[in-house]
Amino acid sequence: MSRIDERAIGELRELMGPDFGALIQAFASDSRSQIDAIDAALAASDAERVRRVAHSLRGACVNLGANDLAELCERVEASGRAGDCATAGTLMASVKRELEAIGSELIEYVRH
Amino acid sequence: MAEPIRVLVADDNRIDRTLLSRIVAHEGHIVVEAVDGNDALDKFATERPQIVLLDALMPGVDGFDVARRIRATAGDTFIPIIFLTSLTEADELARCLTAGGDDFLSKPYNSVILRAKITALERMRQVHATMQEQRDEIAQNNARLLREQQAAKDIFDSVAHSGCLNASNIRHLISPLAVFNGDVVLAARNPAGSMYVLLGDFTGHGLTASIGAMPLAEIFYGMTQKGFHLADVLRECNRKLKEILPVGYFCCATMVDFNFQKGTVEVWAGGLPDAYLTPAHGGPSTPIVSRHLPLGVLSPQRFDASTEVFELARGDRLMMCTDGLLESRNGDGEMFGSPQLIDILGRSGPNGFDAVKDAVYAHMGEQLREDDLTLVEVTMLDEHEIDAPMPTYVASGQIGPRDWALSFQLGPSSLKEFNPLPLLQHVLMEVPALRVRGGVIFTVLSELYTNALDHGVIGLKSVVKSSARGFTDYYRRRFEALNSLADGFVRFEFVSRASDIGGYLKIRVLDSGPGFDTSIVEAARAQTANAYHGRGLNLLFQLCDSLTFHGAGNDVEACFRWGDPDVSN
Amino acid sequence: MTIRSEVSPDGRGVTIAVEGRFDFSAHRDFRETYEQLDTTPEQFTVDMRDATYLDSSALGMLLLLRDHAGGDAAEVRIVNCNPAVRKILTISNFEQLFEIR
Repeated sequence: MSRIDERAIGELRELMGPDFGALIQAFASDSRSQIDAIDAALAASDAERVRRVAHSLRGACVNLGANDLAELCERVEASGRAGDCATAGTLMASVKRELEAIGSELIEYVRH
Repeated sequence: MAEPIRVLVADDNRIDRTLLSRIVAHEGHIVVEAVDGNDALDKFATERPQIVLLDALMPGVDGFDVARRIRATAGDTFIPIIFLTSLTEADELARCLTAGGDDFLSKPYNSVILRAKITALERMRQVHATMQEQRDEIAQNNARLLREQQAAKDIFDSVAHSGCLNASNIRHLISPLAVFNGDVVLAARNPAGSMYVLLGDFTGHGLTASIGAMPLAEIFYGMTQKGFHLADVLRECNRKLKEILPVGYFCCATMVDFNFQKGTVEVWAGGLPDAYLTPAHGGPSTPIVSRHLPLGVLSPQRFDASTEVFELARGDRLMMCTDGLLESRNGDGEMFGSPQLIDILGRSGPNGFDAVKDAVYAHMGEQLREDDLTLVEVTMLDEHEIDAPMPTYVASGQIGPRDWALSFQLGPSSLKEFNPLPLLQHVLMEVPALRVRGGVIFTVLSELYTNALDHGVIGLKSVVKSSARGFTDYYRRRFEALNSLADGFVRFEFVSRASDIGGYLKIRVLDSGPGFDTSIVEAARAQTANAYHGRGLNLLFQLCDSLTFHGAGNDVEACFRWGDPDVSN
Repeated sequence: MTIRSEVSPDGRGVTIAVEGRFDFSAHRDFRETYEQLDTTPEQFTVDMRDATYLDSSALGMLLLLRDHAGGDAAEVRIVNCNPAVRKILTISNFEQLFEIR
């Protein structure tokens, strides 16, 4: 089952034209940085930072049509808002797994 | 789609920013990107976009604060701000709008929706810009109108408020904004030393009410200076206003002639509330009732310039005001009213003016509007106490005549209605050396003419000042006698010579009357007589360089000399 | 402020009644009343029974009416004046131009 909304990504591809690949590349790199940033924030118990970065990542996911990942990010964001680094930390494993899976799908879209 | 506009896209997330910029560019607009709050503020200042797309949650300066500061920078100009958000809670979305956003755009970004929002907001922006242009134009027009009004006010003030309003025997209250309510106060001395004062109230509102005041003031000052009688000035004022004002517009006025020599005031009142004559130390006032239609209503043929004469002792005062003062209301809507005015005048003695002014201010209290309060008080004094300047003479510009003679004779028709003094004075003032003595010459001319006409041709006995209503009776008898005059004459003969070193003017006045007992002339010359008629002669002897009576006394010659005249000519 | 007019049965006279404040706001209505008559009456009557107030612009309007009605040859009467109205007409000496009752 596709983790990415086909229609959404299709419109994106049409919109970006030849720059589609660059956009996906940018997402891949930005999302990895953001995950690292959340890990660092958790280590420092900086719930506010966790909330902010998770929020940002969520936004990008929504735009790309990666709705499941977006929902996970929202839960991390909510935990951060509540000051609950523990729950946030627990969720991060799922986030990383989901991101991996999406990554492969996105590459497929770029190829075709 | 209309012209491309500049759009600022401010989002710290590279993916979102890239996506949005692409969508906006795809619509044909010019994109300016910013990566965070401070960058957004910098880019706004330098690029001046017409629309701003702003991420609500950015690190550093948050989106709501950025929106506030953009609004502040834009000032009056309307810059639509669309917040970018993945917030889904209703109250958080609402916060976008209350924080100064005009709309919000949720993720995932949809180009159809974004296009629709940009179009709608761009339309609003244009409407706003048009309204601002119109508002600025209105403000400019308004400023121009205010400048014009100020200029009109300055012209009005210089025309209408010159004259001798600052004389020590005149007190007046008139608003600096009178140009907008049509009230006018004029005062001037004539060559004989009398003081004419006019209070006028033009109908209408605003500047149009006051435009009539300009020709009125010209006529008043011009004719007064030349020595015309009150009635002549009034006739000409009425004629002019009737000519220039549209039907239905007029000037309610009271005009007075204060004669300090005789201690009389001659009045004409048309349309203003009663004026009041109050004795020097208080007591009941005599009302001066409006007996005429206002100026500018009647044709010259129907205009009635008849006046009333009152005798005043030194210190007696005349007070007049426009209806604005009497109708001024207090907080309960009650008018000030004439009973209150009369009461104050009766009690206040010499402080009447201030007492009335204070009372009106107290009456109005917080309602006080000073733009419609006009009040004038004129006090009778002895002539030597009057500090108002006498008229100065301006010649026509030609070199004056140096050797000339003029004979001017008036028959019964002319004697009835025509006052020759201003005309003759005008001729005499063309002689440069006579100008400096213009007032004296006019007084002498006037006195000689009065003697010739009143005592010579008509045969009136002089006024006995001690009798009650002496002057009123005198003028009534004079009026009746003139009206029925069938024959008689007064003739002026002038001879004048001037050279570089001196000159002379001889004024000879002959009348058709029987003359008088010239034995009193010697007494007058010695200044021992004290009846008025004698005083008239006293005055003549004081003012002229020489005075000679010929024949039966109906032939008198007055002479003025200057420098080293050669009188043998 | 209301203006009503009524032409007499024989068409030779018209009565214009002014109700309320007779001031600047009455200008156009008052003027239209006499300018738009079909006949040219010989006599005009202004009925002030219900007039509460009269100011200088009303005086101006009366002068305009008189001018329209023939100026010095006109016959214009002003009737049913209350004391306040009467007083204003008296100060202006309008009885020299109008018959006032």
